[in-house]
Amino acid sequence: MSKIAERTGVIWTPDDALDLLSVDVDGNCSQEEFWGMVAINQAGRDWLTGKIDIVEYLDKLEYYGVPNPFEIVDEFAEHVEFVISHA
Amino acid sequence: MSFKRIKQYPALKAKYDQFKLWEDQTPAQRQASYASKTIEAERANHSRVEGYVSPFNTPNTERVYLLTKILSTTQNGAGSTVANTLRSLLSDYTITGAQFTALAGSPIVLPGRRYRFAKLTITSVSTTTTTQTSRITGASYKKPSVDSATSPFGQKTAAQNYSAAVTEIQGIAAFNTFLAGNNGKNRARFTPEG
Repeated sequence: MSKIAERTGVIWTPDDALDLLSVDVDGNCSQEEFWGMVAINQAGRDWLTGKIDIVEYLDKLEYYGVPNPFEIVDEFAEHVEFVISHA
Repeated sequence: MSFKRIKQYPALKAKYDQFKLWEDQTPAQRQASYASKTIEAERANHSRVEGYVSPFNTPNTERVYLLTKILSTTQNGAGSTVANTLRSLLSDYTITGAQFTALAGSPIVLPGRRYRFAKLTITSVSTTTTTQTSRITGASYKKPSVDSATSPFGQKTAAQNYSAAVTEIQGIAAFNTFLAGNNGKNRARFTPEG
């Protein structure tokens, strides 16, 4: 748990922010979908470490078939902001 | 025009009203409604022990081992089946304390506290579901019984990269058996290190 969440006891945040952005696949996925998952999660890691900027991250999400990527990233940013504002 | 969005209003309003009730709840009320939905005894409880992971792309001359927690060989808590499956899938990609002691030379060890390891998460999703009512929207939904296990992993052989390891793990029979289990409802997630 992050330090902020521990202190307030109200909000849960994972130690690794990628947990909020990563996706999984089920057993009925195709090879393409499987590697799409690996690519999406890699893009998330690259964005969090500053290797790619947000525009490229959103482009990659869209390329790998995530509908409405901005909505997901927006939710993530809101959650992070929410956690910080409650610190 | 068919006014599609407008016609959705009555159904959405019902959910919205429930949502507002939930939003206005005190923390104590929220915890109570959450507790009424959760069976704590079924929450996955995995045992972990100290182990090591070797980060990707480090050749033999520069190979480092990061100290971390890996799944233990004895799993007695809830969700032990999934934990055991995961541990055996990643046994070549993680290093137990005993395996580490047996390593020749003086391997370089670094504490891995702040390091984001590559992780594999596998989730078993039961095919049978129970119908529940959402404490937030009041809508009913079907809830399967779910068990997840996560473990860090690293390179199996020196200078291996992440994609190669993922390809290998994807080729393991036990991985495919797991993923195809529960009529393909089981899930897997690979996240890279960074």
